[in-house]
Amino acid sequence: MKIKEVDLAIIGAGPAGMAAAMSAENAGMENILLLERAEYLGGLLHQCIHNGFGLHYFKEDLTGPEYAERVIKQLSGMEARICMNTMVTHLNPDRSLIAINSEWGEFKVLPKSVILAMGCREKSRFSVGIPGSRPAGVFTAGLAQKLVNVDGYMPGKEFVILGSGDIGLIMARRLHLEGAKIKAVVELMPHVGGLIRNEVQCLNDFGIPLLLKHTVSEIYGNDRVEGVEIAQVDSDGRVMKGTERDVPCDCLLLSVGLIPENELSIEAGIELDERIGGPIVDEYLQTNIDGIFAAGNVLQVWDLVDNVSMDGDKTGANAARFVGGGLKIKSSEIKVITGENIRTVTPQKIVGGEEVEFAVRVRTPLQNAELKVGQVRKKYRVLSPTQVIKISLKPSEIESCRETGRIEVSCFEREKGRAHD
Amino acid sequence: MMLYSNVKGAGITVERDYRMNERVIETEVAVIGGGITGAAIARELSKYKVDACLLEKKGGYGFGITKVCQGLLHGGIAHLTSRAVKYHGGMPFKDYLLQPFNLKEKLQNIGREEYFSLAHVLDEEIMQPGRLMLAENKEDMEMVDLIKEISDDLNIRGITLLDRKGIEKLEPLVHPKFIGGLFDANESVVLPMSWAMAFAENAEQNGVHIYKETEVKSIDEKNGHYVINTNNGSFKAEYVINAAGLYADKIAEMVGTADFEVSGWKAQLLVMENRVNIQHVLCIVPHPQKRRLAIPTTHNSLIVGHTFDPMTHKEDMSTTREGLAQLMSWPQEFVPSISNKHVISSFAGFLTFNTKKPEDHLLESPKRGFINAVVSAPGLGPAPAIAREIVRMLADQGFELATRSDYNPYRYKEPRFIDLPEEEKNAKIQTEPRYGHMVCRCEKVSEQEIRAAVRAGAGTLDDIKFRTLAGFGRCQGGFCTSRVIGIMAEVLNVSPLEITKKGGGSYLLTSETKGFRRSEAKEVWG
Repeated sequence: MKIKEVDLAIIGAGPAGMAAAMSAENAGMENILLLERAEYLGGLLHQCIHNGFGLHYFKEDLTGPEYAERVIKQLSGMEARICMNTMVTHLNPDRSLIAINSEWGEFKVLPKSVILAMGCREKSRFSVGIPGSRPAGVFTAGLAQKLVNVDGYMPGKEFVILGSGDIGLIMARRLHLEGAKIKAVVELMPHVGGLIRNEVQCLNDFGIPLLLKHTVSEIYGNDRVEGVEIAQVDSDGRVMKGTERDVPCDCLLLSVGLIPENELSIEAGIELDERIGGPIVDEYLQTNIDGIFAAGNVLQVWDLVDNVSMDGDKTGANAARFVGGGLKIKSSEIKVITGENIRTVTPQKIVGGEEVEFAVRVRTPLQNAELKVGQVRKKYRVLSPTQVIKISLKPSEIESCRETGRIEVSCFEREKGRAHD
Repeated sequence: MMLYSNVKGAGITVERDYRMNERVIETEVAVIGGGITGAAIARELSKYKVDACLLEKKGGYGFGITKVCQGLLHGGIAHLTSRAVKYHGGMPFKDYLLQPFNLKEKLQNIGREEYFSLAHVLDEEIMQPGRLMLAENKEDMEMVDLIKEISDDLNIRGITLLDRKGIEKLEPLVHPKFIGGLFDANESVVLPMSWAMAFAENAEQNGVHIYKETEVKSIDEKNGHYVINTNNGSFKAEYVINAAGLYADKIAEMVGTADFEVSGWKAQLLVMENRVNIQHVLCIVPHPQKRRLAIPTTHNSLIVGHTFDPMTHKEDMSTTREGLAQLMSWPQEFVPSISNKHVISSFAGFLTFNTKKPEDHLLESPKRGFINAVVSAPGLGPAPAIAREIVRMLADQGFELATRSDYNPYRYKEPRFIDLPEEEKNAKIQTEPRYGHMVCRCEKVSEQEIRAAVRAGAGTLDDIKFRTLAGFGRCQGGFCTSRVIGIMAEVLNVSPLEITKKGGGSYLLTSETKGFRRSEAKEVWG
């Protein structure tokens, strides 16, 4: 078996992995190996042909392929070795990993540091428990996006889309433009799951009906989908009896959530945050295994690719510091507590004495909100669970929490505003 | 078919008009049905000098009710627990349990034993995790004690009485409500479809002619033999074996002997990732009409089941809202730390029985040359024994059984590439680089394995799934579906628009996108 000794191995060459490779190299690392299972760089960006990418990272409005191309161009001038069509099959607690491709066969990598950048996957109809028959014509929205935008095929003619996450909204518009009929976008929650701009630009602008507080309660059809049953749900998300109605269609698309892909992390013994599905990390985005970092959607599902690239930047630099012996860890650890109205926070622990950037997701939409991290307060006009808020604390603001060993993140409305629906 | 009216190749469906195909194939024995029973019978027949055909309606083996069974082979105390579930009063409970084995239970025990020797011969997997029956209260413990007592009386080996500590030793994470239980080391698990394929492939190797996508439409009797009319030609046979499973009553009707119906129960099941690493089959102490199991499988998942509802329609294998809601609450009843986030799939199957002898298999010949091989659930375990019984019945009817000297019981199954030792993997990649290209990330299936499966006859996405496991895992084909469609289209040299999920009209794609002409794209991009 071939053995590759490297300073840094990056698993996944989507936006997170590519940014990590460049940032590590810019920080002086030399021997970098980037492992990518697909036949192209950029992860899923190439199938996201709509615009809206890069507003923060590049200060420009780009399409997915443009964003990818820009990063790929930068990367092509670097030394980092890239292995395409390469699947990492095992990751061990000692950071060594096994991978496989056509050129090297099955080979072993012995890295001094590892960055996890495997991204995320879509939930299927089964993980959200939609009953009914098992015909052809039930697709996740991302798979449909690949079929339409990359392969050039339509997965159906008349669609119902369950879930108003960004991919669902984008696909509603895309399929409409391809001449398909979108019977409805159905959302379990009382609010849209994706970005507000996508609700406006993808649904409203094209007159595509949106059904909030509804779900698909059954799938019909033997060979191909013949229709679905749509029903209203109560505040617990349960189907309300008597509200069911049949909607004929030949395709059901699902945009019902994304799950970080952490099978390798689990194998290596990396602890996960069950609420997020990604590794528990410190402010360096380092997992519980020294020298293994996590960046992008494998850590938490981000709403914007810009954040994914920024994660990559961070981990690349930190991996370089780790290998160079420059990551300063204090003896006492501060635990980050998820307080009132907060769904998730990263990092989950603070181990150093430097500035810390928190990424916070609230539980419900809030108006005139105040976010509190330790003793620091910040005001927001609107906070939505669909958007991650970033907030940085200076070393001095962290220090005050060292004695108790905990720092709480919470959020509340300063005054009762109009209910968001 | 309006749905696909403008699709290229829309006229091509798997179903062909049988009148168009007037060939007549002569054979001595025709087995109808390529489920676990029919496949095992075909293999049993292939041991003898006999010209036999296996006719299967679908594109693969075990695509009917075999596919949707739980994969348990039972044994040990299983017959006691299944009797307990069926107890309706009458005689005292203990006497009821102590009754001697009926034919069904005997065949179950013989068949089950056979799987262990066949695993090696047919290159198939079998797992013997044992079954842990969990007791919640004193009443449950009384049942456990009773079953233990009876199993001792019957001299069943491998049965251990356990207290809380004992069950924790086997399964550290089980729910604290369980105070004790019984461990039965005999319980074993297989992947049923895979075994149906093993039986059928070995039968084919030994000369049985296999006809897939061949649906029996009618049967005529002429001059002492049967003419079976199908969508794929006619078959003139001296003997007909009816192993049509769910539709065995319809086949029997075709020769005018329908004195039974195939009825049953609908059972819904959940498949999850086995993240909490459950090692044994878990079940609750049996109560009438209440079965609850968590089964670790041969490919690292966990099957949780099953609900119990009357079968309303034979084609209705849909899951229901109520069923899924029930199922979703069960995993945590066994192990509180199981998360429903790790549900991979859910499905429904049928536990069938014949209305003539609901408690037994219907293995009989209502008229000369026609033999019913109609099983009552469970049919997986007894299949090899039923096969032997059916062949014996053939002999009773005067069919001469001469053993073949060239019979080869061994079947070679291509091992999954990812399971090979490193040197073998690398040797294979050297000769065929496509082994190094992984297409299915969850189950780690290479491009070459998918190509090989298509060449070996896998014509649908579901065929690929069950042969190679691509699309079987946690993402349920979210990533690999489009790649598999592409590979299938390339190998079969058809448009991706013609690829189906499971044959018939189950097309996956409906048209090309607007304004995109593949031919033009080729001109521009070369």
